[in-house]
Amino acid sequence: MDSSIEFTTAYPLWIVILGALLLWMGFLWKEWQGWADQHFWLHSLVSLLAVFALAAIALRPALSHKTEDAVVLQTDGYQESQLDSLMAAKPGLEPLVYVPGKNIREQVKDVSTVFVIGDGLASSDFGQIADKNVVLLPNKLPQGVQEVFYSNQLVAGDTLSLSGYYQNTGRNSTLVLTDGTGTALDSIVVHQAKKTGFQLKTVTKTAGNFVYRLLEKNGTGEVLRQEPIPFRVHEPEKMRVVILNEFPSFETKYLKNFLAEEGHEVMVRSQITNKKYKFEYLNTSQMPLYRLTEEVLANVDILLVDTETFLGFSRSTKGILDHAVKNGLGLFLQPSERLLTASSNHLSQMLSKVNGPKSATMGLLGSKVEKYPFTIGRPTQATEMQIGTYGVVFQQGQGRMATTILRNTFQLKLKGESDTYRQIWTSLLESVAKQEQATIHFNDHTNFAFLGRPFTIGLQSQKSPKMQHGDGYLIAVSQHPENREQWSATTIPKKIGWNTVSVEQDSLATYSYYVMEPNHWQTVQRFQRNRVNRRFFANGNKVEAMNVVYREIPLYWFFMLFLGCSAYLWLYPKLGR
Amino acid sequence: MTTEFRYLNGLVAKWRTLHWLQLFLLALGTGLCVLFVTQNLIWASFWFTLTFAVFAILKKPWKLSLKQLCRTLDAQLPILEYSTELLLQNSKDLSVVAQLQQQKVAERLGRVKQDIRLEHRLGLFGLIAVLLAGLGYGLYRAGVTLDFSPAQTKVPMENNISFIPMDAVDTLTKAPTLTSQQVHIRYPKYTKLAPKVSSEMNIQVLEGSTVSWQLQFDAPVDTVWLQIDEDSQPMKNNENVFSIAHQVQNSAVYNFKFQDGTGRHYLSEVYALQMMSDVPPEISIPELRQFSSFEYDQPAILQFTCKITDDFGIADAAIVATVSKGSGESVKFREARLAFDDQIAVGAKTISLNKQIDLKKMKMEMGDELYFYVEAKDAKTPRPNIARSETYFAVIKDTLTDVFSVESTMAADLMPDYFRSQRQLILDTEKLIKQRGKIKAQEFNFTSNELGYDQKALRLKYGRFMGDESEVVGSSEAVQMGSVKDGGLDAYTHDHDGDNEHHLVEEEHDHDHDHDHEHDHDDGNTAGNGQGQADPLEAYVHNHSDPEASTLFAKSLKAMLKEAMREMWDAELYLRLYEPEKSLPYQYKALKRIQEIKNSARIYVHRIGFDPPPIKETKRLTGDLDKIGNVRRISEPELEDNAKHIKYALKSLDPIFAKGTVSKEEQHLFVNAGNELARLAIEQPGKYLQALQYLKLLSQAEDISDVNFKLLAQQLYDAIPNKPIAPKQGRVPANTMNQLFLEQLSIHGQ
Repeated sequence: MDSSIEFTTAYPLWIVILGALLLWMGFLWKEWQGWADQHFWLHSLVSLLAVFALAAIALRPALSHKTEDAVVLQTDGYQESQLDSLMAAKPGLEPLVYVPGKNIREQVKDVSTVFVIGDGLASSDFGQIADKNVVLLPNKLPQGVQEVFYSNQLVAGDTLSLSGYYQNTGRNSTLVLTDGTGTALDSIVVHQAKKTGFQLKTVTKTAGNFVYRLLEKNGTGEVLRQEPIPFRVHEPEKMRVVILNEFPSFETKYLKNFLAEEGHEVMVRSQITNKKYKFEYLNTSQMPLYRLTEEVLANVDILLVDTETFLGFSRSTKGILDHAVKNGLGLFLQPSERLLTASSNHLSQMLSKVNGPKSATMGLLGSKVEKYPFTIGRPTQATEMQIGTYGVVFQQGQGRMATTILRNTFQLKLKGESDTYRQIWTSLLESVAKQEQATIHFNDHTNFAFLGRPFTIGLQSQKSPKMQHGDGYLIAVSQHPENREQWSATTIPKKIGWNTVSVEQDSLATYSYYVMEPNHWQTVQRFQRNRVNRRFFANGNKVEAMNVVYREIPLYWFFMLFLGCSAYLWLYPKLGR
Repeated sequence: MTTEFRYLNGLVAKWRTLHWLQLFLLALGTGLCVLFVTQNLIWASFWFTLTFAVFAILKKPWKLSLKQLCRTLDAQLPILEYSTELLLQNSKDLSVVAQLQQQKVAERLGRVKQDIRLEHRLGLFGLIAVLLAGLGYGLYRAGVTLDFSPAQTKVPMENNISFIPMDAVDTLTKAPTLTSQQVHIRYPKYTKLAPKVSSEMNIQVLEGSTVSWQLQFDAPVDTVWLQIDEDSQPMKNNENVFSIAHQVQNSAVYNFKFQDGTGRHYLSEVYALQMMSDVPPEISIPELRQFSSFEYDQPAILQFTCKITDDFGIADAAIVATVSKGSGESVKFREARLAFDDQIAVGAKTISLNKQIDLKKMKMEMGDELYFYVEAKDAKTPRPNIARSETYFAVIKDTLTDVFSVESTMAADLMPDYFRSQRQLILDTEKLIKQRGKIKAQEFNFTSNELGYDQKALRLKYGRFMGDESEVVGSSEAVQMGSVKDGGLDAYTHDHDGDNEHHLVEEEHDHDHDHDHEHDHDDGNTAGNGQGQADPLEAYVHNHSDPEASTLFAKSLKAMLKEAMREMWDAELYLRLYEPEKSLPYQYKALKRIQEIKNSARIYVHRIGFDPPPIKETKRLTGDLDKIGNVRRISEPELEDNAKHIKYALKSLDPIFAKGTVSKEEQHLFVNAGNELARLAIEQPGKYLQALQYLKLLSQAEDISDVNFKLLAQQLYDAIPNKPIAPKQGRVPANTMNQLFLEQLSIHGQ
């Protein structure tokens, strides 16, 4: 007999056997009269059968059974022609319509092979046929966007950059990024009939929730589909900037005005004579700046110092500064010839003095900016980076240090080239500014929410978060088994439009997501499902040519046996011998 | 009077009537034509009367007489035997034959009365009248009309002001509708433009114009307001015709709001009132160079034609001239306002004016400069626009322009060449020195010689102002001293012209002469040989005999110049000897001397307007900083966001759309957003009017169902300016793994 028995119970086998043995032992002890006569043996056998029946009920044995039956699972997007040809090739094939989430175990329990046609199963249903021989026969994907990536949490002024892959079957198809009311912001023409990458960009103006559209047009300009691009724009955070100068300078004057006009809090201390200073507080209240202490630096995002001040720091101040930088403070050194030629390991490695031009051309308009006669070489270590071709930044713990070889950039302002000035200082200061450590940080990658379908929100938090939907109900959050600070919460959206969830810890963090109709982003969904199915069913998940199925022995047989044996054992003393 | 006579009288009257009727028909046709074309009865009547009168004078129907009639009848009816005139006469005055003929004609006349046809062209004139009327009607139907009516304006359907109810609509009661809307524009008087009437509510007017609106409704209306920018003014009611006037000083957006008899409010669309400014006049003076110079011996006359144009008329134009005399700190200015040679036609929009300026008549001398520009005013009231042309310069060249002037007085740099020459010589010499060894010796020597020549030329120029005509100047002292010492006969001569007269005074000699040796030794030229004492009076005496003293400069200046020349001489010497390295120090010294000369000739004048406080000598330079404190400055220079409320409004649209109502706070927000948007709408009229309309509704109306939120959101988003790039703080998750990673990175990176 080449069939085998398998127990389908959740209980471990040894416990059931041990229990059965103990039970039988107890029964034998009860029957033992001091001698082993015929009745004793008969009763022992009957009790063994009863215990056996009980154990079988607990263990649920199943007998193996060879089969060559197969079904064809019709998933979304399957083609009739494919189904017909499959049915013709394999007579006796049972068609089965797949509905996501529906239990199909009963229908497939006696089959050995499952043919999957169409886009494939939802990943949550893989387990239903994981033990079968699965043959995947996917469709050719239609024209449309297959993958799309963009950050859905931006800051006002950031660029919304939408990139992805487009499967083009026609010629000269066009993708247009429009705002919520149809105004075109960017577009691209896909000329060739193949899978092509694309990128569309636009600059955000103000904070709020926005739903842009991605239009697909064919070669004749006919709109094939419109897909929503929801994203949220936050207000920019203002920085606290402290500038320490040995003497007032024009460069600092224009820089502080630039930062203050953007709303940042700026504090300037410049020395006007021996031990006499000028303190300026822009957009902020007064704060003592005589000495740098840990308390002072804890609230500062960027510290700008000139060479003389930096080189004049005492050892204790340098220690405090070093500690603050390692804790996240950004330190920008306003350059001078003396600084750039100082025997500093980092700088001397990265900069080389040249007898070259003392000006650089920058920006789209080719603005001329004065610079020190240095060039910046390639970064030598992983902690050193370039800011364009005019600045260097070093990572020091959590914080960064940076400097530049440009000088007298305020001349750009005087010449009216404010845009170039802005670009230079934005890149310099952003590369070094202290980054706000968010205790709760929501993942901002592309993540579409569809009505009635599970939607997973990922977040990072050092403590266990409690998430609540805007409608008042709580959403369970699960922790990543390996990364203890990574959490995820899955909810099923119930209403279309913007929804909000909030997480409260030390502060309230909210996350808004846009729920759309399930018929949006069909091509992306199909491609993703297709890819997931290919990966799952092509990576050895199917068991080798499993054509054996197990059928559970009906339990009522064991119950009948147990009942009979119990009845005999119970009635025998009553009816007499 | 016989019956026939009376009959003939009647005929003539009829004939005259027919002729009058002709004229009447013609005039009627003309009148009808004019009436159809102009739609104006007065004009039609005028033309009717004019036509009637003109043709009456031409045709003179009243002159049709009995005799004419008789002649006509005779011509028409041969049976009357040309004797009809006999019927006009008294039979008693006629002869018997005439009486018989008279009776015969009378009898025949009676028989042929039916055949009498009076000459007239009534049909033709009638036809002309019909044609004229038909022409007028045809022109009217074709839309070719002349509007002479100042009052009534038909309102084209598309210009109608439409009102939207602000409150919940009660469908049973009919809202009052507008039957007439007019905008009267009265331009400022100085423009001489005729008033304009229109029904188009988006208007462009000139600054200072008065705009009046008139609205008439078909049903009684309580109050009508004109809401312009942030003001809401009630309009005057005159029998259900509402009117208001407004003087335009800036561009604005406006709308109307009215309250009907049941207390419901209605809001109109938003319209743009665009103000155009009166531009200043434009002045052009072609064919006149900006810098003109004249030689002193030539006529210094500037002749030019100035063309001035203005949009509404020029009121005045003149030339503002400034003459400057002298140079340096002693310069004097004299300003004058000159009129043009031509009369200015006040009110003309384009004028061409000629002017001839004779610099010498303006009492200008050599070296004086004239700056002038044309100033024009237009007719604008109350404050006219004033325009200026470019400034033109004219100068009478001075013969001494080549004399070095220590200061430049004109805007153009007219530094004398030689001031740059010495410096240039130094640069060229240094350049030559660097090329030693790189170029051929011959070339090197040649260049050195050339530089020596240039140095000589420079020295000669300086020498000219020293009063020296020869080259022998500035030579080494040894030469001069030698000549003095070598003079063996000096002991025996009276040398009063030489330099050592003082020696004569002291020297004892035994020849006697009549001369009075006690000269007043005031020649003053003791500095030439470096010996002797200074004469105390030499600074105060004019010495015209001594060439050494014949210079424009003070004595010390002359000495410095002599030294400079001496240095130049030595520099030239070494350059000629092909040793430029040795000449350089002398060149530097010469330059230094020249600079000292330049500085010494300066006059420093006390600066007017600022008297620095006197420095306390006791505190100065002590280095005591106790009283000097730190400086603290607090400010908030954050740039104001001109679209702040627009951004808030944009954010609020979705929730308001969802709930369908607007709260009081949100209404206030939309008012502010509307004000911000209005500023943009004024700059770009037509672009944001629809959004303004919706914002008005949201800020005032209860019923917001007419608001197109999508369009409003789009226009509000468009109105927000692009955010320029600016630094901002990044945000990262507080991730332990990241922190550990960075720490390890920095450890291993060291």
